[in-house]
Amino acid sequence: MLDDVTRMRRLPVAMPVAAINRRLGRRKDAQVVSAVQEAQLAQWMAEAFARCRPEGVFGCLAIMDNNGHKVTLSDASVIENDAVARLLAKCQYAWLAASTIGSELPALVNQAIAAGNGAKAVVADAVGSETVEAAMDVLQSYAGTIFRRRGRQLSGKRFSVGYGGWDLSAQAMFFAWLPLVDMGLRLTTSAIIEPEKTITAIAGIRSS
Amino acid sequence: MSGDAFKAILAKQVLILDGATGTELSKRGMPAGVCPELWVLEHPETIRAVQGDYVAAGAHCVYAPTFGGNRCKLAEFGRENDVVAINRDLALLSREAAPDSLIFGDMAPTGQFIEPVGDLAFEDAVAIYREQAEGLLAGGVDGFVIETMMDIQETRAAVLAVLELCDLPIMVTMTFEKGLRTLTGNDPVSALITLQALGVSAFGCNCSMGPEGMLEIIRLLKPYARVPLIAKPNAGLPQWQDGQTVFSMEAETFGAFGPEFVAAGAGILGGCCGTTPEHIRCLADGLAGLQPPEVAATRGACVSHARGYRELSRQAPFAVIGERINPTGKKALQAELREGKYDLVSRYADEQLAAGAALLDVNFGLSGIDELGMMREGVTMLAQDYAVPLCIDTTRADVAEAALRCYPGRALFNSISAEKDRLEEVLPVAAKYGAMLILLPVTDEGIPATLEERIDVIKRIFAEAQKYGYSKDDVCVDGLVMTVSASPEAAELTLGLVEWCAREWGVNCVCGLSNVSFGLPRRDLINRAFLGMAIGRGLNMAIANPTLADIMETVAAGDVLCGRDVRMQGFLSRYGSSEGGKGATSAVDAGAAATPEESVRKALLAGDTAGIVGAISACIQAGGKADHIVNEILIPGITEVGDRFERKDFFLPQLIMSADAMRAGMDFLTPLLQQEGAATKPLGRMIMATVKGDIHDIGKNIVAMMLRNYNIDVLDLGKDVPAELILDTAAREGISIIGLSALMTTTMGEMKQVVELAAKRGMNSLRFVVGGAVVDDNFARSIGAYYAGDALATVKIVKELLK
Repeated sequence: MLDDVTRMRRLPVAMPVAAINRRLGRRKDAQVVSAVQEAQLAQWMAEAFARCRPEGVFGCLAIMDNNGHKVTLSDASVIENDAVARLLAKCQYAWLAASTIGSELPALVNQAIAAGNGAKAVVADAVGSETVEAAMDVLQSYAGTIFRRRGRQLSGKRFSVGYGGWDLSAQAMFFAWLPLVDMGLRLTTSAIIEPEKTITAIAGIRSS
Repeated sequence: MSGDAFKAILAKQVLILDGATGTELSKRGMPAGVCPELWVLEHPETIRAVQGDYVAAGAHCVYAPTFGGNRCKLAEFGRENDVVAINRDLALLSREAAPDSLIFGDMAPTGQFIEPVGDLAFEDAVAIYREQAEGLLAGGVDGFVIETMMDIQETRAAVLAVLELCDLPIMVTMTFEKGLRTLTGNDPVSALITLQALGVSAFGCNCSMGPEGMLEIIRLLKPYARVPLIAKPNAGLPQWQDGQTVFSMEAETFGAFGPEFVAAGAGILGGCCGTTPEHIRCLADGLAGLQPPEVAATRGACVSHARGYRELSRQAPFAVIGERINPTGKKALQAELREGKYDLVSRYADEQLAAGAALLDVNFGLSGIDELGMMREGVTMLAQDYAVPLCIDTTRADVAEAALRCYPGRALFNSISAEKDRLEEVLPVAAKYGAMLILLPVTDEGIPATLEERIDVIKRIFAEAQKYGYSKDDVCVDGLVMTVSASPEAAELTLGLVEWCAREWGVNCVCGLSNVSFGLPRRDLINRAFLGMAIGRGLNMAIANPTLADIMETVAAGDVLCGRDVRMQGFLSRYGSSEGGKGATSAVDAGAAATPEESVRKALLAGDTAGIVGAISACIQAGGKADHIVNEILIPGITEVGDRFERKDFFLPQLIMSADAMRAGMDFLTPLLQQEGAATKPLGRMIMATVKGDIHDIGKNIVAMMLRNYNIDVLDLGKDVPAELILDTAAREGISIIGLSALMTTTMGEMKQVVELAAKRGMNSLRFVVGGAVVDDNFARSIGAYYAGDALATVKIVKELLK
């Protein structure tokens, strides 16, 4: 576990309505939505968002080596992925983070499905997916400000495990770096994190 | 210097603050990575030079170099036990550097998060700041500046630490990001409302943005500000150049913003990151001869929470204070509170907010529970989870203190009566935290019998409140509703008090509604009539149950009739273009359905799961046959829904709402179809599964639901399903179509395993349909499967395969 981690037990996340609508395929002025449907959608979104408990944690490790394909960190852990190596090029530190919205929202989605309310399930699922991303945005924004005050720059981009060929097995490293178990998270044998609406991310830090 | 003396200074001149300290120290030799406070103590000549230059440039006030002088920050350098001495010595150093200027002790974030966001207890934060303030006080500072704050709760801790130590003036500046919120989500106006009520002498913003962005914040704050406003911007926006953060705004350009800031309402100006003595010189030159702006809020009294605020004035919309979080008469809530649970509290909060409550009344007065502990926990939970101001409702001073101390905003307090203990014990507590007050015309002798006596009591309570700095804008009067069945003149007495408050005395007035009808049948009628009469006499707030539709409808109509609903936006958005208040209609459900069949079609297109059964029922009563409804209305209707989705005239939730309505309709019709001997067989069967290793199954579940709505029998094997189980099931059940889902790049490979195992087993008649966030057509083709991009596409492919 990293010695110095910052954990925010309740991230101040506003409901990312525009992103949720985008995820659901809503296009401005393209669809006619009745007032009744509008009210129903708003109610489902509010109910789903109320079940989100955005939480996050981050820490840093010095980058010992980066050959463009493989990044070695100061705890001897190795990330073999070209895209991650590109993101961390010219960086002295790796920023390692995780955000989750907890288990209440996935439970709500499952309840909706069990009740045969597919539309509510889809809306709630979209709320969860976008809220956990928004939580990571808040975490990254906060960390960026803190680093800026220390004369360092946190990259605006980030990279998540499971994307761009970064193998899911890398999730285990995040469990080693960050107190994810304390946050109620669990890693399955298939290297998937439960509760479902959880993301991990890496970004780069440059110092002046 | 007292707060009043500071106020007098600000009334005479635009106060000019210093510029950046950190960047100036770096320029003059402070290396990166050191503790600035310790470095300054070791190099006193440098801070003397920096601050001397700022004073020479025109600064009236310099900040002691104690930004990181709290225990948490000094601990990073092993000096957490020297907080008082370090802060004292640094303050003395500034006094030497600028003997004729105001010296303000600088306090800034601890770097920790306060509960419940982080682990730092609120009282520990207060203690941390108190320790630093003690050192600064010993160093002879003229006041305190709490700056670069990102969290309202940490800011409150710092302010309370100083207020509980001395009466020196306190300036607060917070740091707002691009979205005009701090990193912890606080907005400028709410923070101003909270902190000026708490007793700060000036409020504003510093750092993060240049002058242009900060002007916008000052303009936002001005209508609500009862204290002078501060702007301390950076020298433009930070830019990353050659591995360094640089601020490129020239001093002249920076200085030229001074008059604009004063015009916008700022009376205290300085510079933050990247500014230099030259920037301050240019600022001072630009401000020469300008009078400070008048401090006069144009908006009425407000209450706030961490992320928003609500104006409570007779010009603002009527405010319904949700009354449900109160155990009186609620057995289920009483039982939960006795068990220390808050589930019902959350539910009441959800329901009342959804119904339109402007505030939530919070009362945990119940025998057999720890009212103080529950109030502290309940208020913390509600303040964190709900974006709504709270009304703290208690008769006990210690409970009031517990609630108001932890509440991250300006609360409404219910209530202060003329009873001795309320005036002597509860009022000072409410005043300490700046709560807005509900004045209750009750004395130790009871409830005054006449209107004149009640008015006298109200005036007496207000006179006491004025001693703590309260104005008429900071209070509202409880109209004290009595039961009309016990006293026929009770209602008129209350209405008289309401009218006096609104028309003569000029204060807000609030009523609890339901007492008036106690003991009568159809209490809703009496309550609604009374509310309408009270609104007409000037009532602008009520403690009521907002989930009662007639209450909220009366309030909405009352706002229109009283002119409080600007351009009737509130009313129109709620009831516009509707019949019977059901909401606006649209092209989907516009117009009355011409026939019962058309009603069914409309309900299907509108995704009206609740309404479709009634529409079908009416259709059957009009002589329609079940199979006709299915084949001529529902199936063409759902096909039209699919077409609209493909044309993107509908988006995903609409598609699924219609599918849900279709299923509800089919559930209702199936027994009738059987009676008619027309029961339709499923089009066919298929298996659905999320592949092994993947636990994401929402998409798969939605697809399965859609397939069923299209009369396809789905055998759903769930998630994380091994290839062997899928194929064994297919063989056993005689199923030839298999739908596979995967969300991750790492698990989509398992789809290939399933297809290859089928080939190995010689199950060549099987057809595979694959989908999921990472799957695409190329991948599907590469493994010999059909690709379904969404639920509707799956339906189409499967229907085609079943042919």
